[in-house]
Amino acid sequence: MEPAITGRALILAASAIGAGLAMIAGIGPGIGQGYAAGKGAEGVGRQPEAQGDIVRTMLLGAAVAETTGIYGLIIALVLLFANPLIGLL
Amino acid sequence: MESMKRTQINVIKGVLLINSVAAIFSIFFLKAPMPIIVGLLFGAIMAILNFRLLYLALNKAVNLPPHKAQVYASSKYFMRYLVTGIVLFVSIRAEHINVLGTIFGLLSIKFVILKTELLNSKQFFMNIFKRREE
Repeated sequence: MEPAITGRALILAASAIGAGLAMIAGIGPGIGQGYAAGKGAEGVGRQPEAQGDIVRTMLLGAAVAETTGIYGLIIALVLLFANPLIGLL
Repeated sequence: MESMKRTQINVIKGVLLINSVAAIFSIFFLKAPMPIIVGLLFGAIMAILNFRLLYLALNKAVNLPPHKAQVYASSKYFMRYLVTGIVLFVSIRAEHINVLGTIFGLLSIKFVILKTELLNSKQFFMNIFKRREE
């Protein structure tokens, strides 16, 4: 008698759930960048001559924060389309 | 604005340099370096494009009212995130592109910024080892 759930199906299901959970990492930088941009806009409104410094600092911070979201995206896509766990069966 | 331009050029130069070094290493140490080099090129180009788009988005966002700036910056972030996702998907699916090269290319911008902007002061490291009571 064939088992109800094969090992491969279980790995695929768990990988899909894992990919979904990994994508949560992509939301954080989006919220953070939006918050920073809002505060940056307030700062420029208060002190327009400091726009260059504000944008420069925000740009570097946002670029570093964005890579954190990319980590999650990489994990999700690898789990979905290049799953290394199936090869272990 | 001049400092902005200089910062962007420095970061772009750094990304190209670090990826070139990685490509040269892959030529010497790998049996089939071509997929890695194509991946590095693909990732580096996308990292530079993302960085430029980020600059354009933030430069526009700071001139908007704060609540609109929040929405604008977040929506632009998700557009860039989608593009990055497409790039990674293509590099996973394509046989002639190594995904590890693409990942390194995409993340290299982080190493460059940390190196050029955060860890560039020798005084900072010297202060770590300085005795407090002196």
